[in-house]
Amino acid sequence: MITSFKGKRVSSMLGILPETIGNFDDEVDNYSFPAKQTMRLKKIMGYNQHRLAKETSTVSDFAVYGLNYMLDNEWIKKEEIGAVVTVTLCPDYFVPHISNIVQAECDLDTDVICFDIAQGCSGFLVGLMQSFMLLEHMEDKKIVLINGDVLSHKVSKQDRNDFPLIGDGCSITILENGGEDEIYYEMHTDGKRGDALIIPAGAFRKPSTPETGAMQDQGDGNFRSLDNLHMDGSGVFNFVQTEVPPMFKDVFEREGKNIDDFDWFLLHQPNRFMLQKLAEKSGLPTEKLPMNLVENYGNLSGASIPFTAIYNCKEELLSKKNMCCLSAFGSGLTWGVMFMNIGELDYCEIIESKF
Amino acid sequence: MSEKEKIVLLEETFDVEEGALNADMQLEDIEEYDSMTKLSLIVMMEEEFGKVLTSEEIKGFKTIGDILNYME
Repeated sequence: MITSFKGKRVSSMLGILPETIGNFDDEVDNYSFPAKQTMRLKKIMGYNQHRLAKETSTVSDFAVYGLNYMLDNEWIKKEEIGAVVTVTLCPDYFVPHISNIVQAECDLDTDVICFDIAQGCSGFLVGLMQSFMLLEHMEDKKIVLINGDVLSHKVSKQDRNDFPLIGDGCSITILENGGEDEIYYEMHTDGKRGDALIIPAGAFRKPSTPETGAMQDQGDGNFRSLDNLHMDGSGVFNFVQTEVPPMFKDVFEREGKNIDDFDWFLLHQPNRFMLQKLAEKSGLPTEKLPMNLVENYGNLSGASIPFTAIYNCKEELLSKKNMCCLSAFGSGLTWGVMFMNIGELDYCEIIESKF
Repeated sequence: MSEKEKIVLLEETFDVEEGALNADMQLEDIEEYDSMTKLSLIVMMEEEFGKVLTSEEIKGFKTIGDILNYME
């Protein structure tokens, strides 16, 4: 789908991190591969540190902590909130939803609309789309958009294919009506390739049992169970290299844009290797395209674009307007692109929680 | 491209020393043949041969010779 929005703005962005830092060097011995070979990944993929939620911590813990931080520091007032939208793959419970838990824990009004959307890598773009549509009916009320995941709970620590890149975290973006800027929006879905990123067991189709929890050698030296997240690395890489560069080419042609029209290319952060190859094939300028989230925090799923923005462009986002090209791709499978002016933010910060 | 040139290209892709690979070698016996090497293989095939190497095709490779046959 291709569409556009008008007169919507981001007013504040907050990133909330887990306290625990996992170091790639310390995890080398968890894997069945020779250490020298594993260390090769460090440089090429950009693995170094990743943030890991505590075993007992859930997305709502981070979201409640973050929203209370915003309320306490007067980033937003309770009575200004019209909706809480949470985008996650990691619900606290099947029922109730995280947005409802946040509404309760932060003691928000019962008039506040609360719902969750299940999306991973493209979660920020999907969350923005939903928030913009809601804002059409919100007048002066604001949207609290929560993007968070604690996927490390679902990844085997003995799986070198999936564990080194995963990171946990949560972002909260405040959106409101205002300004005259046009926003370009494009999103694609191909469910036929959805099993390239999957947690096979644990929901209704295949509930968790002792059998689904049994660790198995996958034949390639990685150990995981059916309860664990798995990404078909080469399948996802091919998908990104096949679908995303033509999307950029088409949208630049159609909209009469080129790379000089943008201050930043803020992309989902799967790993450094994939971003480099994507930038090369798409002709995107690496000096405007941060690729450093995975080495600092890990791949934060739907929160990776807001974290990339705050981590790399905080001063610019506070002081001036920035024409940003946002793009996400991954689980679903989904891929999308967006052009939006982001800047002159009221607040923009990354904080660490105790979770 | 000669068979020898192809082997050299594969040795660069696998990040192993010159002369380390030959057509008869079983991939499962090669320590360096991991997920990273498979991604490097995808990139090399596109850059050098203009071919999109799929996960299924990679799963079909059993020997270095199978990969050499694909490099055309």
